[in-house]
Amino acid sequence: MDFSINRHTIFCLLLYVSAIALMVYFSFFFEWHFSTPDELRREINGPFRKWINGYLSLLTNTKYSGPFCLLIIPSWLYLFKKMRYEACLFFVLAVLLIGAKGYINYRYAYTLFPLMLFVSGYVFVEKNIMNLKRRYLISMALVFLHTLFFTAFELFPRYAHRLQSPVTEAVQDVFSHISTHKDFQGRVFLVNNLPEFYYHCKNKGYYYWCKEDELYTAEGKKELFNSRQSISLLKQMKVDYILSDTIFSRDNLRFAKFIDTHATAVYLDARGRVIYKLHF
Amino acid sequence: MTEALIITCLFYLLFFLTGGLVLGSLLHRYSGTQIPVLSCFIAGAIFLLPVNLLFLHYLLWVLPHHPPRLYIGVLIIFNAFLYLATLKKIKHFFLLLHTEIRLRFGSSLVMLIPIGFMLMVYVAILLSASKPFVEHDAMEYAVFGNSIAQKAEVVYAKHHYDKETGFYYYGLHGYAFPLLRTLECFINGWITTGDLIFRSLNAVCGFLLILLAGITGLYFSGRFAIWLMFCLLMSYVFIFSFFQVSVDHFRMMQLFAFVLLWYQSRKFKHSHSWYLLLCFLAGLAAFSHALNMLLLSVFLGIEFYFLFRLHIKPVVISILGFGLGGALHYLLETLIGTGWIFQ
Repeated sequence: MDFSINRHTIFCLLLYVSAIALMVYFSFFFEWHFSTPDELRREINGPFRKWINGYLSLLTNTKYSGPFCLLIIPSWLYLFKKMRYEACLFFVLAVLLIGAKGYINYRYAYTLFPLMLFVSGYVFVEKNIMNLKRRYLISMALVFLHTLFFTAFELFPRYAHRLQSPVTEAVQDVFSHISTHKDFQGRVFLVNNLPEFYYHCKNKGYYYWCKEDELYTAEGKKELFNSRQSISLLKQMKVDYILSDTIFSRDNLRFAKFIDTHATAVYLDARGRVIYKLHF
Repeated sequence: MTEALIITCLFYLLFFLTGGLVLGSLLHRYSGTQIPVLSCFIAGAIFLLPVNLLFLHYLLWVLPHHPPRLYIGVLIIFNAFLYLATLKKIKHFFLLLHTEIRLRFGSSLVMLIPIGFMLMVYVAILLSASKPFVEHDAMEYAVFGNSIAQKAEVVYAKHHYDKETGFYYYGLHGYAFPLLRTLECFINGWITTGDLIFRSLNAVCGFLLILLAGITGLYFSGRFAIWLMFCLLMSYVFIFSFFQVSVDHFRMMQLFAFVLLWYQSRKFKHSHSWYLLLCFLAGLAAFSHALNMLLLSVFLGIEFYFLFRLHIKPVVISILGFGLGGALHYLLETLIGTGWIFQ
């Protein structure tokens, strides 16, 4: 193995390890205090994470896309050098579009992942522009280790409970409770962003999203808890219960305050979905 | 459960295999036989289900409030017509396909590949059946799909509000995914699959996406194909998404297939009917998700400039194909519906 191969290999590994270290630092240890709960859930809290995991996620979100997203810009340069201007322009505009419109959700950046993998793989592995030996094996091992790390430390702890007993969970969840319990027959709900309600239950439910304080009606969106007539509106709609998720309640302080003063929790399931009975 | 598994498996295999042959043979023919046979087959396999969903959309829009068996019947007749109209081409295409598989993989693998493919589809459905359906976005699509099935109608309106249930659909995306649920509801009136077809779409298309990457990589080298398949399958984002009920792999697969076909055909001069067909596929990809619509509009805009040099005829034909394929939905949404992204 000559010196140049070693130098390139070490450079690539250093680049990758430092990017991973930065990303791990910002993902796990670095928290901003002025972010909304929703931003925290989506890992775009604070300006730095908003750029890394949001606006530029196609290029820098190594957590989801793995090491290859770091190779997109060099791949562009290669395509540009080969005068494939149309492909370069498409990638630039796609990054801008996804950054501007879909920065909030990793799934939008994921749209171009196969194309990105294909192009960077073609340039760096098949064409081997860096003249690396054993590039196939090294890159496959990197992907494997990267995935293993995040699967073991994040994905598995988050979803392990679902794998244990999906059947039991389905039986014990809040929707089965609503469908089977006599107290809820014919009752009207205010459903806080839980579309499962309409999938599993036959009751009427007004659709609502507390984060934006939007009540969805036949005439469009209306404010509910930010307006002074919230109680009269709920009475007018004949709402008896509020169905929500405990993590959503923190998204809107007025909604949380209303729950504290005018409602009592009557059922909470294992996934944190809760039924509040209204009393006013 | 076993019955639902078998029916779901048959549903996907029927669409993928007949799609691969019917649409694949059309693509191969109209590309002037310049696009590799395997690429045409896999693109055809991917796009037949979206073609049916689009057709169902037009049916429910133009001829609403009919019993489900009428829609199912029309879809069956439509597919039978497609199959019969391309029967001669299919025979020739099948021989080419068989030869290409034998040359690339050896005669011993000719039978192993379809069996492996069927096994893959079965495993994907089995995995989807063993987990609860709790994903928020997919659930909204499913509820909207149920609502369309119940009313047997697709409407363009300012607000999609269901007075009976109180549900409000505020999605901005094409109707392909909700209509899959609608189709499943129609099938459920006849054979019970529960919601397995809908919930297993993401996993099945995930495997198909890997197959598409592998087949395309194969035209560069065998090692690159294996590398691509491995890196896609083993990436964290793929594993993370694979176990969710969502539209992601369905829309990504269509976008990826279209872009690959476009670049494969870019080297050659083609007829206008080829661009009509290809852009129809782009429209189908757009019909599955609004992001596909935006990305493909950008992509086609760039290509109209670089490839067609803004010559009117190919540009108009391509736009026509794109619109008929599903992009028209967004125009309708903007003009007489929710206003789409301009609301």
